Amino acid sequence: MSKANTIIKPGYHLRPKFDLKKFREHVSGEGRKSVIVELPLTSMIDMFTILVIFLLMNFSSTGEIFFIQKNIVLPVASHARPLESAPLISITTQGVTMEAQNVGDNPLSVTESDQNLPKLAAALRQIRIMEETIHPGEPFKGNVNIQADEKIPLVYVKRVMQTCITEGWNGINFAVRGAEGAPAPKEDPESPN
Amino acid sequence: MSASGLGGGGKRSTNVDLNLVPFIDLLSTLICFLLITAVWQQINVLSTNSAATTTSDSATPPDVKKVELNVSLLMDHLEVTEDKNSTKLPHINGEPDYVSLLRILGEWKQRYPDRSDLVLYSDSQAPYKHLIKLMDTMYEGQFADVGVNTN
Repeated sequence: MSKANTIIKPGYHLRPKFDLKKFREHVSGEGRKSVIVELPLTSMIDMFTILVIFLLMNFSSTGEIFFIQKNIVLPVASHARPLESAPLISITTQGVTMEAQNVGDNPLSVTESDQNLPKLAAALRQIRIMEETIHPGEPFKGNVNIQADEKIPLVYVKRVMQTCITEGWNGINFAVRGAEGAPAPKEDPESPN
Repeated sequence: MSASGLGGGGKRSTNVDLNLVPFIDLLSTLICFLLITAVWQQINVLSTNSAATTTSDSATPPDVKKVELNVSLLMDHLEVTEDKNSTKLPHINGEPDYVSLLRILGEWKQRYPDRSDLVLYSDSQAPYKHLIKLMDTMYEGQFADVGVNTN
């Protein structure tokens, strides 16, 4: 084969002034590989930012602490208002608890005449005295939060409500789960509480 | 991290790396705080005006001209009462007929636009979720002052 017919691979022909030596070595794989590898932080910051935005959207500044018992499934309501701080009464088929203290037992069959919950009445009386001592001169609001399982018969709830009303706790609030896609809850100016 | 020196003799590089370390610190702290204080379940409340319906020792006598608007939750039907006129709404698949109730509440609201009070009577063996759903429907029908009778 003659020299004229030989195909010659073209060499590097850029002028030295514009030569990107390091880049050329990196592309062709000729360069020495650096031991120090920088961590790609951009994707991590992207992830952090998305996480912060999500958590900020879920953030609630009301600061209310609400303990839901394991065996209680709260009913769903879409027109409720935000929870306010008040004594919490939990009602199950087994019994009635107030602020994690047992204040009454629920027998298997409760009749409408069986409205007596003396422990609950005593606990409510004690809290009322405490509130009136802490805030002398202020009218007693008498707000109480009630949480009960959605399947519980109303007779269990009614006897607790009756005890609350007898002791002057008229602002009875039923704790509910907010429905998904429900309109934003708002304070009702005409609310009795 | 390749800021040029103070000498100024050489040509200053236009590519200045942003110092990301404090930014990552801030984000990490913020994420920890938000995760700890996150509210995963939104708890709200429905209020009732039970005192007006249960206690009999109220000082003010009832208004004789006021039309009584009541809803009674029974085991198999709802009874919607406007003074003497009563309407029965049978349950559908074991659930109260909330749609018909909402329609009646709308009619009441047209007739009595100033009224927002309503008394809810209930059977003692009815499930609690029906009471809550009824109260929710009444709120939706712009009757915000719902009194639950406990007798």
